[in-house]
Formats: sequence, C-alpha cells, structure tokens
Amino acid sequence: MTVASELKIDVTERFPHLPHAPIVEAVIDIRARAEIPWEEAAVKSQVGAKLEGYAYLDSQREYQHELKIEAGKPSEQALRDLGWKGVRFKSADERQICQFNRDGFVFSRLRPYDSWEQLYGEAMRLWQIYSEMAHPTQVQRLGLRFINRIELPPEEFRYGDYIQPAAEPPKLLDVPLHGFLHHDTLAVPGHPYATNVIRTIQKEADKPLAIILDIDVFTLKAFELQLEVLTRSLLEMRWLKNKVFFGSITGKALEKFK
Amino acid sequence: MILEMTASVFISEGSISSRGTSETARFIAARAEEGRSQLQNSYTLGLRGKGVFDELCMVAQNWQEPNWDGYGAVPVTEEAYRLAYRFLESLPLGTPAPTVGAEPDGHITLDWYRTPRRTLSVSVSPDSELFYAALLPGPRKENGTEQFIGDVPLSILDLIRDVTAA
Repeated sequence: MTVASELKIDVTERFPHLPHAPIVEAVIDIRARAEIPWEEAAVKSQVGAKLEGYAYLDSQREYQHELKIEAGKPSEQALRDLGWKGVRFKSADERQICQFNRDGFVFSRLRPYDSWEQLYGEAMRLWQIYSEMAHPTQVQRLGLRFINRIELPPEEFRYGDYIQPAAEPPKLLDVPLHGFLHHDTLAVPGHPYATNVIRTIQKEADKPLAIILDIDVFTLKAFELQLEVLTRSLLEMRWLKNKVFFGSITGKALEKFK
Repeated sequence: MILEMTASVFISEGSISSRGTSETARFIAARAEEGRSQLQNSYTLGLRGKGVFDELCMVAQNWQEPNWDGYGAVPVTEEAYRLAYRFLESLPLGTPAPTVGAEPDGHITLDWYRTPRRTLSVSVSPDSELFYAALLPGPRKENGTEQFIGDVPLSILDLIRDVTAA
C-alpha cells in the first residue's frame, strides 16, 4: 500500500470552455441545519417574498425506503414518510431550482449550463437568503455535483471513444457490453474532500443511448460556517471536479463539446 | 498498474450524494441503490447478509415497552431504530459486523469488540446524534459526539478500522 502525498490544488488553473458541455445538472448542496423553527407556512411565504424571479414549485417531504425484516417472516419493502422538510422554487425559465430545507440549501442549474460564474453567483445569492432566514452555524456537508450525459451515435461505437478508462467485456468473452455501473470514490490526500464518480449507461425510449458521468465532490468533515471557508472550498472542489471530468473524457469527446 | 491506497481507504462510498433534481439524477440514484442493495445482501460484504439488520429488528421489538429493564428504562423509539438502520446501511461494504443492543435512555448501541482493550461503542440517539467511546492499545481513549446526516462520520470509520484491524 502506498500512501499518496498531499495533492496540490491549483484553483488558478484554466480549463477549456466547452460551449456544448454535456452537463444536464450542476448542483451546489450545502447541508447546514436551520437553527430556528422551520414551519411550512412561514417558510413558504418568507422565501416567496424574498425570491424575485422564482415561483413556488412544491413542498418537499422526506421519504425513506426500508426493508422490513421480522424473524420467521418474509422481508417486505416499506416506504416511510418522515414528514415535511422544505420548499422548492424554480426560476421563470425553469432552468434553476432551489431548495430551502430544514437541513440545508440546494441549488440546481439544469441544461443548458452557462458558466461557473453564473452557477456560483446565483447559488451564493440564494444561499445568503437561506442563511439570513435559517441562521445555520455549521456546515455538515458541502457538495458540488456535475451530472454529464454524453449522447452516443446510433451507429456502432466503442465506449473507449468517449470515456476513459472504458468499460470492456471480460478478455476471454468477446461479447457486446449492454450496460455497466461503475462507482468510484476518490480520496484527496491532504484535503478534507472526497469525490464520488459514477459512470453508467442510460437507455431511454425515444432518446439516444448515453453515457452518464456523474461527478460529486464533497467535504468529509463538518466546519463552522464562514463565508470565506465556504467560498474557498467551492473553488477547490470545482478544480477537483474539472480534473475528474477532463481526465475521464477522450479527445474525441472533447471535440464534440467544443 | 499501481493501486494507490491512502488512509481514507475506509471512506464510505457515499451513501448520500449531493441532491440533484433532474431526471438523470433520479436515474443515477436508482441505479446506484440497486447496486448497493445487491452487495449489502451478500454474506461476505454486506451487513444484511451477516444478519445485523435482523438483530437490530429484534432489539427494536424487544425493547419497545417502557421499563424494559425493570429500572425505568425508556423504550427504543422508531426514530432511534430508523437512524440506526440508516447508519448500518451507510457503513462501507466489508465492515465487520457490530453487535446491537439498547441503552436505558432508549438509544441503540452498536459495539465492535475485539479485546477488552480494543473496543468501540456507538450510541445512536433519536436526535441524529452519534455518541462514541473507544478503548484502544496505547492505551488510548477516544470519545465524542457527531451529527449523523446520512454518511458515517470519518472519525467513527477510523475508530472502527482501528478496533477491528487484524
């Protein structure tokens, strides 16, 4: 076992701008529990009054799937309702969705993705509103997630033309590969982050076959809420996300996104 | 090829993810859950396969009445059961199985025991708090409190590793 030395994160590094980036959703998820009572009617009305350009989407309830096991009986699946947790609002163009939850704030930018500056600027503007309402003091988890959907051509192709390392059938069995699900967790030596990378295939009726490349960078430890720390963390996490993305796609795919 | 491992080899593979909204995000969640469930059911890798969830269920059933110990014990609540369940589900595949018990205050305890001087106890409260205490060679004592939001805190994963390491 080799212990890696500290990874040098360079937030000034420039990455190519991709006008046709395959991002279907970019998410900034700040889990920071509200320190005041979080009641549905009051939260909905306060958020609505403060969010110019956004309309109420829905109330969020929390559900949990459970497998119930009782000695001597067959196991059964159950869906448990954990109660109301927050509200969602969407922008007029329906490209931006924000969640004001009891346990934190989430901002999603849907396709088409514009730029980091736009994503970060809007997320921080709305976070400020959440922060003023909820008075959180600690961030339990900070997440930056980019979900990419790389559409594949209808004709014959190889996964290796688009992502690396590519999924391959076993060496001794030369058969077509119909699907895969790879879930990697990458450590970030010397920093309180980790990255989940999920690569899979999505087949949907009436849509081209696509490779999903889901990159989720997140913090490993809770930290006291300070805007400066939050900002620096997001910039470092963005660098990590870019390194994973550009290190996972091939030159051919890159050309497609330019 | 060099497989490079670090101290964070025990990082949970992330049972929670940053919360997406799109259809693609839901698709990924379903696929990942399928994969995780399949592995959790395996005897070698998963705690479900090792019967830990059965044990948790028995504890919750047996200690749901007040005064279950004859000394005024508080019943184990649905909430404590639910959180302990989620905690167990979130442990990385291959984690050694803990023994499950209850405390007079209604918390559920998960104990990893190797020797009298190498032991860890994690107490799951209905308020999503994890109280932990460990004894390790050295001698070293560790204790503290962590919030449980869906992923097992790194400090507790480290202690499980230290207690159970060969």
